[in-house]
Amino acid sequence: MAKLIEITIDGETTVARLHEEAAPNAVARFWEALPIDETLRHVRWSGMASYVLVDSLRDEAIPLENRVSFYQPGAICLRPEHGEIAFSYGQAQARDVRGNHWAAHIATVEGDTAGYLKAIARTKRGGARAITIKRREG
Amino acid sequence: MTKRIEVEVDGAKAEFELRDDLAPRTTAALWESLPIETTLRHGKLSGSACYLDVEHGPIAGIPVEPELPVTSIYKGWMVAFPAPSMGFTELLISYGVAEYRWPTGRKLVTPVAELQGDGSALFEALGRTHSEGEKSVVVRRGGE
Repeated sequence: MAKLIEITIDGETTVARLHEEAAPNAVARFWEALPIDETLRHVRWSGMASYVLVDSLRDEAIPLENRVSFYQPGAICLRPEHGEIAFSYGQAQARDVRGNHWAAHIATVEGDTAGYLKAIARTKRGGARAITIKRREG
Repeated sequence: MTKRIEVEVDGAKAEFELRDDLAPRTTAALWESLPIETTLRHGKLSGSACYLDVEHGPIAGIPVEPELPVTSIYKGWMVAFPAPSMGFTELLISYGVAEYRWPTGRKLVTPVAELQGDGSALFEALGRTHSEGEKSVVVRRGGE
């Protein structure tokens, strides 16, 4: 059965499907790291996305499976070199001061994503907010 | 004599010197557009920099061609990016490592002002927009 996660931002919960087949090792590490209670902040280099930093996922040994550079809206991507999980709501790319980079695309939100994408976007003008990511049971 | 401007964000003030030696037309347009009271937001592509859009005054109508093209926005510098097709000029202020970028890549801007003295309080206020969201900003004339 596919692994699912629940993401809660601003009281709104969305479900995302983990890409276990395309990114088995990266997804396994992410799954082990759950639950995650963190502060979601808007990116400063990558465009229309927000991010959290997770210490236990800062490990360059995590492979860049299902490798992407540009993030599609609703994509959830891991950059293991600094344990960053990015949540895209529009045009976005794995970037930093050095230029363009790669990330492992580990999950994609499902269903009606409009409220989720707006909640991510609100970090741009409204500032940081709490995010919870946990396993969806059952 | 050198013209100075004051930038105030969240109660933090700092003085900048207009660099009319680098960009006389752009700095003159900015001077004639002051004071500016608007919203300051954190950039999403350019690193440690905040921006304000100026829709009124001569600075809003400066030519699209940069007067002194650069892409780096050094800490403590203000740069201008004219967007006449959108009816405004963007002013950016850096508090760390920053480079002017769009989704399509680097863009050219014109440096217009350089921080004078202690900018630590302003830098902290600029940095707080990353976590706290947008804030009010005032850019006004300082001493001449």
